[in-house]
Amino acid sequence: MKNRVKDHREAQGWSQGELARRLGVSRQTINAVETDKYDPSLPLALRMARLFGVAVPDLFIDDWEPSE
Amino acid sequence: MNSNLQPAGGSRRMTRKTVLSLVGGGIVGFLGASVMMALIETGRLGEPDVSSVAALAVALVYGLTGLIVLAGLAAPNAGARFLNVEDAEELIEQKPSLMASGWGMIVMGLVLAVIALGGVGGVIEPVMALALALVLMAAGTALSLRSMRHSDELMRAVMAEATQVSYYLMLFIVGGWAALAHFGFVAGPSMLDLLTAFWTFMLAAAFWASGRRGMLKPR
Repeated sequence: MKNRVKDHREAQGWSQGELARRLGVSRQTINAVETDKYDPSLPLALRMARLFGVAVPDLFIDDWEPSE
Repeated sequence: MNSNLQPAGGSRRMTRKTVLSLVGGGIVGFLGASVMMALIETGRLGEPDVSSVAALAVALVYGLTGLIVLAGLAAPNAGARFLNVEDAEELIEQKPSLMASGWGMIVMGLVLAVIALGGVGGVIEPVMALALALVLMAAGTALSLRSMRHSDELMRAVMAEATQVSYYLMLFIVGGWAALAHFGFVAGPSMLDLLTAFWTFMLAAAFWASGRRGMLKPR
């Protein structure tokens, strides 16, 4: 799933390590999320959104549309 | 720097690191295999058959991988040059998990080696080999649990995926081999071959799952 984690992280001036430390995960997790290799769990996605002060759908982009 | 567009310096650093890791790993692997073959030739390991040699080779891969991780942790500045981390600080951050993983790899390698050397006609008495394997297996399990406790959700996801993949590898490769043997087309796997397959497929699946998450890409 595409996401804007890197944009928000860089806007805060944080390194991957700094974001990982704030979220209590490894740098590899942040790297895997930013490169679309891993979709985080719902709790982690919520924490990321809260940390950046945005809603989850602003952070993670899902192109799915409900059918009529 | 983790951008997809690496500046020239970062790119050179990564190329250097990749070459160092590949060459270093190759040298360590070659030396380990040479020592093992020399030991076999001296007769100190008895007269291992093909299955035993294959098991010992896989055990060696586990042991050397664990040793390389522990060496990197012992000297993080040097370790950051051959382990796939961004810098020494990341190694220090991951130390609790990696320390347990490194020792776990060594212990699990020893389990397979003890079993390989402990069969009928082996250099370790079967009862002694069983006792040693059980003790080592318990230690390996404890280390795995410890590593899991210090792992975050990505690592747990990778391990879950690796376990699934190794199951399917066992099903198709060993299951296929067993079916062909049942039909009488080929000789069936020995008990030791089955164990070697468990160890091999788990390691192969772990690499595959790590690669799928981009964790093998040089950083």
